[in-house]
Amino acid sequence: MSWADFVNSFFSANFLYVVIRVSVPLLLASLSAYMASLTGVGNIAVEGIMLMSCLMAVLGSYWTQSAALGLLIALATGIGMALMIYMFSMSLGAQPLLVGIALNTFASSFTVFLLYQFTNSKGSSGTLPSKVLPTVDIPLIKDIPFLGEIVSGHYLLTYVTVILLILFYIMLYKTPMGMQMKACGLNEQAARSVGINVTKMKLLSMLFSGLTAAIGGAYMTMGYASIFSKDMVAGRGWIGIAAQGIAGINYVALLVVTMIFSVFQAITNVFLLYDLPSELINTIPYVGVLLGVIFYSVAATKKHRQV
Amino acid sequence: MHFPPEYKQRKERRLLGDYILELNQIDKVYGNGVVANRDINISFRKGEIHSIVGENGAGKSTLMKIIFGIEQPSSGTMKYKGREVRFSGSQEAINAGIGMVHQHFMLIPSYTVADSIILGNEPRKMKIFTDYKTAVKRTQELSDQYQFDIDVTKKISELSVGEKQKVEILKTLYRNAEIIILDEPTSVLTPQETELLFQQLTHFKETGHTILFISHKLNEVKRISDRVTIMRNGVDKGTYDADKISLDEMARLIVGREVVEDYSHLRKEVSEKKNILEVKDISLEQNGVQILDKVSFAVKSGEILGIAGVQGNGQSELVRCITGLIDYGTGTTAVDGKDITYLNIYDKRKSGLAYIPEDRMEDGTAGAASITDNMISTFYEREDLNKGPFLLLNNVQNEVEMLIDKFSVKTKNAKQRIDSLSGGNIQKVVVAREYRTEPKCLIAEQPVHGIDIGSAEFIHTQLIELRNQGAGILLVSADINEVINLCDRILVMYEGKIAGCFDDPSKFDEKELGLYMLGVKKQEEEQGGVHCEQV
Amino acid sequence: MCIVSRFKALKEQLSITNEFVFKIVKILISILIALGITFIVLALVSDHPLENFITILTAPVKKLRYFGNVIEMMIPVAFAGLSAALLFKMGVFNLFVEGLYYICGVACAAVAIQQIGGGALHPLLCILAACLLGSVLMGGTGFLKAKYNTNEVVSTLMLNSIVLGVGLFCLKRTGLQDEEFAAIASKVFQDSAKLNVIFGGTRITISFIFLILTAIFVYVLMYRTKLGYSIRITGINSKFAHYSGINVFAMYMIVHLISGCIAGLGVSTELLSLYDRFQWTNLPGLGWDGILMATLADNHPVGILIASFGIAYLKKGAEVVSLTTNVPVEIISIVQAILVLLVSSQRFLVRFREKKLLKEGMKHELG
Repeated sequence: MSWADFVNSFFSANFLYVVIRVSVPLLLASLSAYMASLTGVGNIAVEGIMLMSCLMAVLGSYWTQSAALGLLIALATGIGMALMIYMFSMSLGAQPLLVGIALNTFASSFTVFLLYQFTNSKGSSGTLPSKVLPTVDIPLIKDIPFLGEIVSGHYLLTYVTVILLILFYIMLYKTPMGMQMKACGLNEQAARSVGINVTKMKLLSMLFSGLTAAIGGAYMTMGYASIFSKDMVAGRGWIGIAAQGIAGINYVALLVVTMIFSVFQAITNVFLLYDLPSELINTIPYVGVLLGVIFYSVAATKKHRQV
Repeated sequence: MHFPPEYKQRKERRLLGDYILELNQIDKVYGNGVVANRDINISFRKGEIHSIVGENGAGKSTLMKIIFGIEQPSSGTMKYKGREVRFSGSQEAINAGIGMVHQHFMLIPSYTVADSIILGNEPRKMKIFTDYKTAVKRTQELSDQYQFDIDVTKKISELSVGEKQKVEILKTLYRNAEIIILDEPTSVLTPQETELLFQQLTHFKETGHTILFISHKLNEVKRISDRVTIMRNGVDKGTYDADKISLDEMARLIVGREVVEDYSHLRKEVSEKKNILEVKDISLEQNGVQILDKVSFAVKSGEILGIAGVQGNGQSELVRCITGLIDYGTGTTAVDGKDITYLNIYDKRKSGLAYIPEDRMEDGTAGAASITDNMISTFYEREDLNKGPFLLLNNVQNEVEMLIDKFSVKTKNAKQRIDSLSGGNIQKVVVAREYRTEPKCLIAEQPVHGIDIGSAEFIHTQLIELRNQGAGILLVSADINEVINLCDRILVMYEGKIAGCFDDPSKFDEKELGLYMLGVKKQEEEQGGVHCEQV
Repeated sequence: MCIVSRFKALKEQLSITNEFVFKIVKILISILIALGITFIVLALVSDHPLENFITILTAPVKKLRYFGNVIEMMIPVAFAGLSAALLFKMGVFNLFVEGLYYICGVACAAVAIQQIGGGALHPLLCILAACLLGSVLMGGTGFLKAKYNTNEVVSTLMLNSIVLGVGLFCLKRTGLQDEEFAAIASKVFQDSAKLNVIFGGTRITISFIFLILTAIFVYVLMYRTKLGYSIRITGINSKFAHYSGINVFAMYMIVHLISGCIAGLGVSTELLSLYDRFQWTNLPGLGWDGILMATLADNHPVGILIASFGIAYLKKGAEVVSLTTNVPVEIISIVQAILVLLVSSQRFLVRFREKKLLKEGMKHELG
């Protein structure tokens, strides 16, 4: 493979197709982190929730022999875990961070436990006849050269994600509910003072957080791959948290940042082929957030000093 | 319960139908046993501006929270438009037609004015979408109707403080409030903005709104209100027509106290007098506001110098400048002739400064730490408590037990968390600790605020003992009687300046001091300034 | 009645506070609930749940080797817990210990594969490299926190992922990697670098002694020294510390440096005791476990030893069970998660305590 091939590989329809393919779980992870932080609860168990949902999608579709029901079971798992964060942190007064860490380590081991129960393997669910969701060809668009190659022929959940992204946009910017949810995170007292039901908003935001992470998990085992393997989420949840860290409450920025991270992931895939240092490319999102956080705090300190 | 006679005489007869809101025998006791309101009886007429005045901690804010449904009364009843009501949350009060403008604005900087106003009560289209067009139109109309002159498409972060307050008022009007509560509205405004606010309030009155105006600025209150209710120590001291009560009388009712403790017999003459603490020209500006303006004074050995004033006139900033908790504006301080202006807190304390802070839970103690840990924080490095890097825990324990005993801190066990003690006992720990550093100069800021009488007396006695030993004490207090009873000299601060200076303990007069504290009277520069410095 | 009064007398004698008693009771109840749920899960997946359950609880004390395994497992987790606890005591929610375990491990490996010579020098250099790197990196996060109040949660979460990438890069592309080995791994550690076994029949090395010494050091530092006193006060209320004249910035820096050093010590002794080469390609998770142990122990060094021993004990028990049944060792993750969730829940069981406090308050009022 030559240098020209290497460069060309970034300018092909296939590369953009891959970008979309890898962006879906990242977008969902970002959404999950975003929704949780919107009302000020926070969810650092995105990784763990995705992992559990990955496995439950496989097991669920195996038990029910139905991809749809498997998906439902995965969603229920994700939402349940997110609501646990709410319950322990808001109702029982634990630190949301600790609950998140506990759930992450729990998910990492417990998935192996379940996997072993049903497959006698601690590595992957290869032997398990689970179901996957179909891919979708978009009529008409699929026949357009280049564009059709890029946007058509993805998994069902890819298009579900796109629809979700639009629905969330409408909710956040066009409905009272979105405005009220944001208000809870920005100034809880102010929200309370105008009679907004803060508890309800927080619950709702955690529900969305769990839902999106769960779809992200299901996508991993019902599309992206068809089997579960140990720790297969591989840091995607953390990337979502990083994206949220940069974007704050700006939804559009969240999507843009996540897409940039997706491009990096796709590049990493190419780098792997050429044995280039993909490890360092992988850290770029995190370095971005780190610098952002440091810059922000330094600026805030200086401003404070001036006053 | 015992009340001064004038209270009962002036209690007005209530005429049904005349009043929009009536409070009957409202009591409020908080969970921790603090009595915030006791037997409050006030009736508010429709279409009046009704002021509620009193010192900080007199129970004004709690009462407003009860009216607005944030707090529930422990007993007593509230009648709104003739019907008995009980609000279990602010939403119910809002629905009933009561709006509140909080002292700290409840606004979100990134929202537009229109969004902020409609938040929680959004106009909708097709049931689920926010109708932004209608929102902008309606809020702009509302703003124009009351001549508020605000562009509702602007973001909150672009507004001035005065405009933010207008948005808060618009929020209440948008929700069709008939009663609008304003909590210390003028404290953040410039004189021009205040003027504008008053014009608007008069306008609201004409449109049938009832205004509850909370303040401690008597001049303003007298000017703007129809009637005034005076509160002191959680009790209402009667409601008066604003044009029939003089400023003097208001001041007397606000600051007057029944209990008078006399410590004069404890005072001993201290022979050697020298300047222990010298403060020169301290100025401080925060966010463009002049908090302190060239404050100078000196505290001598063997005297207690009091700084009296209503809270928020720069006293706490002054103390924080001297003790180093906040950075200096300009000016210098010296302890016993040594300049300590640029020293860090550790070295300031080494130079002989000790400090009893105003906020004993925030600055004065570490709540989750034990009594022992809190007791030694200023002198744990003393030689007899250490050996090399190690603390000699036995010695520490003996020391702490000695102090607990001497300062009669009521506790079973020095290992107990300090925040499990009562306020008075916590404060005794703080005083014991500062006392034990054997200071040349002690700054005591509101040392008995909010604690029981027994502990307060004990702490006062300790302060006098320290004075008799030759230390200089700077006592900062909003409690006029405390200052009169304890001090050898008194300065009054008003709006960041020393407004008055009183040298002779036998001529201290509470009424006179009250007038100075509330800004009604002021000594001229040449009289007050020169007189007080004595540097 | 007699027992109750005796207990009260004992309490008085040892001057144990009610809070302490409440904490212990809460932990015991949490353990019961956690074990109960584990038993239920066991009943669902195993044919002989009771037998297995008893094995989990008793197997580790039946063979010296098993018991040795328990100690081996607890050591790195306890080190991580001590490292994290110091920071938590300061009120800093710094999660960097997980990342440090990786990157300091790489540093240790880089020294361990060199030929340096015999004696104590080689392992000492390995440990030193890891400790130094740990201190420097942790000190960096401490500086940001103390000077600029940088959000330590976000910055250390990001750093964890960053040092993983950097560590992998170093492992693969700076000559550490053994190209002939099947998986990604460093070259074999020199024999001279490895720590010696101190208890025959087990694989426990001197790292255990290091752990005990570190725990004692942390305990003495925190509860017996001037420095520890000012650290604790700063952690509980930094405003109060500042008011009292304590140099808050210095306290933050010292604690971070020590914490980083402990993390380096933990991972290097782990590698030099049990591994032939460095072959982690992902964050090892030991740091997270340590953070959870610190939570369980309420950041007390002795508590951390007990907690990590307890969890390691159950893990070993489960491992023994997994040898003969289809119940994998991961079942212990249930115990750990439930324990952490319940113990860290401030309001769990608190109603019960409030009732008691109220009763006492009434008594006090009357008396």
